[in-house]
Amino acid sequence: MKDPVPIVEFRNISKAFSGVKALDEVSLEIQKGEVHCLLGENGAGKSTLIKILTGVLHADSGEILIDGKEAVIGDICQARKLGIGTVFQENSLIPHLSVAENVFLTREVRGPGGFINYRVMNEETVQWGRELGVELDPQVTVNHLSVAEQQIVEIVKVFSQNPRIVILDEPTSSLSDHEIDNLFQIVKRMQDKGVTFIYVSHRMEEIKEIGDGGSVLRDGKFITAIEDVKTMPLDSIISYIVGRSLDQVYPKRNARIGDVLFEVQELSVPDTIYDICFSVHEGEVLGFSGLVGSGRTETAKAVFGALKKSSGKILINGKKVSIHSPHDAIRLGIGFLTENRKEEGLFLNKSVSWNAVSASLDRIKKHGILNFRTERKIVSGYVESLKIKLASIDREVKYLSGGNQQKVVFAKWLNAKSRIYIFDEPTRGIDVGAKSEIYGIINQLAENGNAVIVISSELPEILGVSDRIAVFHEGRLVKILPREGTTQEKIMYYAIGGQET
Amino acid sequence: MKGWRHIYVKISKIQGLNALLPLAVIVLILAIARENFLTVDNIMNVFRQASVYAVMATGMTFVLLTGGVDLSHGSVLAMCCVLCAMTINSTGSMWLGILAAAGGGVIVGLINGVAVAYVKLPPFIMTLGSMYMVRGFTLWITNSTQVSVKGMPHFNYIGQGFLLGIPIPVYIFIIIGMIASLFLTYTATGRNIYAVGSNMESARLSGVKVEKTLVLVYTLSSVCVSLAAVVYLARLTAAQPTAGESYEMEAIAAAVVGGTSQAGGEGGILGSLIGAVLIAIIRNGLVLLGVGSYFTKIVVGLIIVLAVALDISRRRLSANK
Repeated sequence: MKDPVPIVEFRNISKAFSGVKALDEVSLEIQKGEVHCLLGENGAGKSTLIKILTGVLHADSGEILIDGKEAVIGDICQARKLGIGTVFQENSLIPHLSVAENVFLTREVRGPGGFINYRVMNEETVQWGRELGVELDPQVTVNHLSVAEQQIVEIVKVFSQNPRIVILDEPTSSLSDHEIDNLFQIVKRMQDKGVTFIYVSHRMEEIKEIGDGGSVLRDGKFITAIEDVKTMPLDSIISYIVGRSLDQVYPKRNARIGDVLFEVQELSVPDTIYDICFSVHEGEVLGFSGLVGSGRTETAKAVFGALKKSSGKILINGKKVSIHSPHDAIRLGIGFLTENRKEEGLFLNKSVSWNAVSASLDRIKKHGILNFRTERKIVSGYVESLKIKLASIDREVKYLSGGNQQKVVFAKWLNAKSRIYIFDEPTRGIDVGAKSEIYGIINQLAENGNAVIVISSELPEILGVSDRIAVFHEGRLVKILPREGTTQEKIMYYAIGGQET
Repeated sequence: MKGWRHIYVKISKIQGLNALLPLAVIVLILAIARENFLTVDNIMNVFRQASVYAVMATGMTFVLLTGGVDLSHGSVLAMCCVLCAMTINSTGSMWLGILAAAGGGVIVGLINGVAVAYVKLPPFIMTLGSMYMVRGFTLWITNSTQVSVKGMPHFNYIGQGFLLGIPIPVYIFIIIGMIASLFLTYTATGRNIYAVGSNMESARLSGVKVEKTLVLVYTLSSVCVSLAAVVYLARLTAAQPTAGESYEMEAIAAAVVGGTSQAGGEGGILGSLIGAVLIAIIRNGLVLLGVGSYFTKIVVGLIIVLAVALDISRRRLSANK
C-alpha cells in the first residue's frame, strides 16, 4: 500500500559552495513509513541534502514539500517542529550530563518554582527506552557509556520528540555486528509506530537488510530511484552509485617491485597492537585492511613514532633504525598522511605554501634562513604537478575543497622527500574525480621505487590500489593476502576474525 | 573590482594593521586638540614609556603564538630588577648585574616551559603559580624593601640616556623587536612556533619538536622580561620588590591590540610593538587632555575590545572574499 502523497519531496534542489555545485537540480520522493536509503559515494551530495532538510543549510533554489505542502525549514528548531529528527554521525550528546538530562536537553521537565523535576525526567526516559525495547539507566553520565550505548541514547532522545521522519547518517560506522543488530531492531520498532527513516550508509549489506526504497546520488545529481533495495541486485546498485567500472577508477600500475625497503618486526603497543610483522618492497603498495579499531592506524602511528611502542624493530634497507618521534621518522624518509587531515595534517588557517613545506623547512633553508622565493617555486611546482585547484598559494587551506586539501598534504610529504609513504584513508571525504587523481599519485610514487602503505576501510579501494593486503583484527595482523585471487569477501572473512582453514 | 579585492587582501595581511588605524586616528585627534602633544620631547617621552611594555609584549607574543599565556611577567620583572640591583651593588659591575637579571629570567622561563611542555600543566595555571612564587621569592630576598643602585652613571644611561636625540630604551625595544620579528619570520624555529599554536597535533606529526618549542617560547618570554627589567631599573635606579604588578596584562593588551590571536598561530611582533606604543600614546594623550586616571583605564579597555572586534570582522570579510 503506497500512500499517494510522499511524506517528503525534494523538488529541483540546487546548492553550490563557492561555485562548486554540491547539489544540481535534485528531485526525489520519500514515501511514508519506509526506510529510505540515500546512496552515493562520499561527496555525492547526501550530507548536503540532509543538511538542507534539517535546516542546517539552505538551498540556493528548489523547494521541499512535507506531506505535499511546501515547507520552509530555516533552522533545526523549525525542522524539529515539522517532525524531523536527526541522529548525527558524531554524537551530539553532552558527555558530562546524565542520560535523562541529555534526552530532555532544552526541554527539561520543570516542577513548581521552575526547578528541574529529575524524578519525572528519569522515569520518562526509562519509558521511552522501553518502548524501543532498551533498558536505560537514566542517571548514569553519558561519558561512562560506550559509543554504541551513546548512540542508543541519541536515538531515544530523537524518538522522545515524537518525530515523523528520522535521519540516520552513517549510524553504524562505529558499531560492532551485535550492536548493529540491536540498532536495527530499534529501527524496526519505530517503523512499526509509523516513523519514516532516511538512512545513509556505505555498507551495502546493511542497506539490503534494513532498507525499503532508495535514491542514488552521484556528483550532486539525482541518478535513479530504487523501488526496493532488497530485491535489486547488488551489482546494479553499485554501478548506479559508481557510474563506471572499477578499472576506470583505479588506474593500472606498471611498477617494478624490487628489494625490501621497509620492514617491521614484532611491533607492539600495550593494549593496542601485538607483534605486528610486515615488510614493504620498493615499488610496492601494501594495503592495510580491517575494521575500524582493528589496529591499522595505531600500527602506522607506532611506526611513525607518534605512538609509544613497547617493543619491535624497524628496518629500512635492512638496517635497524630507531624512531622515537615523528621527527625521527621524517628524517628517515617516512611520510604519514593521517586519516583526519583537518585535525592531524593541516594548519587550516595557514596558507597553502606554508602547509606544503611544513614538514620540510630544511629544504627551503639556506644558512639557517628561510628562502621564500624557493618556497614559492617549490610549492608552485606541486600545485601544477598535483593539479591542485586554488586561487593563490597564499590562500588559507581552510578555503580549499577536501580533495585539494588532501593534495596539499600529499605535497607536504612529497616535498619531505619521503621514500616510505603511509596513507591513512587517503580518499576520505573526497569527490570521485579527485579520488582517481590521488590513486594516480599513489601509483606514481610506487613506480618511482618508493614503498607505499595504504590504509582504507573501503574494500574496493584496498583491492584497487594494493599489491598485497594485510588484514588486521583486534590489534593483530592476521593475514597477508596477494591481490591476485583475493575478493572482498575473503578480506572480510579475516577482518571479522575468521581462522585459516 | 578584482584588483581592489586583491589589494585589500594584501593590505589586510600586514601585521598590526588594526592597531595602526586607531593609532593614526588618536594621534590626529591629539595633535589637533593639544599643541604640546606633537612635540619631539613629548613623542620621545611616550616612546620611552612604551619601551618597557614593548619589550615585555615581545616576549608575550612568543607565548601567545603557541596558544599559551605567561602571567608571570610582572613578578619576573620585579625579581630581575632586584637581582640586577643586588648584583651591581655587591660586585660593582653592571654587566654582571645584567647577566644576573637574564639568568633569573632564563630559570623562571625554563621552569614554566618544562611544566607546560612535559608535565602538561595548562599555561594559565602554571604561570599563575609562578607569578605568586616569583613575587614571594622577590619579597623574601629583599625583605620587602627597595634596593637602590647608586653611583652607576653608565648603567643609568641605559634607562635615561639619549643617542642622537632618541632615548636609549627606544633603541633597545626596536632592536629586540626587530631581532624577534626576523627570528619568527625567517627561521624554521620561528615558523614552528606558529605551527605549534596553529595546530599542535599537526605540528607534532609534521616533525616539529613541540615540547622543545614550548620550552623555548617560555624561556624567550622571561628573557624578554629580564631585559625589560634592566631598562626599567636603569630608569628608576631603584628596584621595588612590588614593582610590575599587573604588567603581564599590559603586555597581553599590547599584543592583542596588535593583532596577535589569543588562540595561537596568528599575529606577530610588529603588531605588538605598535600595540604597546598605541597604549602609551593613549595614556599620555589623556593626561595631556587633563582626563583622570580612572577614565584612562576605561579608554584602554575600550581600545582592547575595539581592536580585537575590528580584527575579527576584518577576518570575516576576507573569508567571504
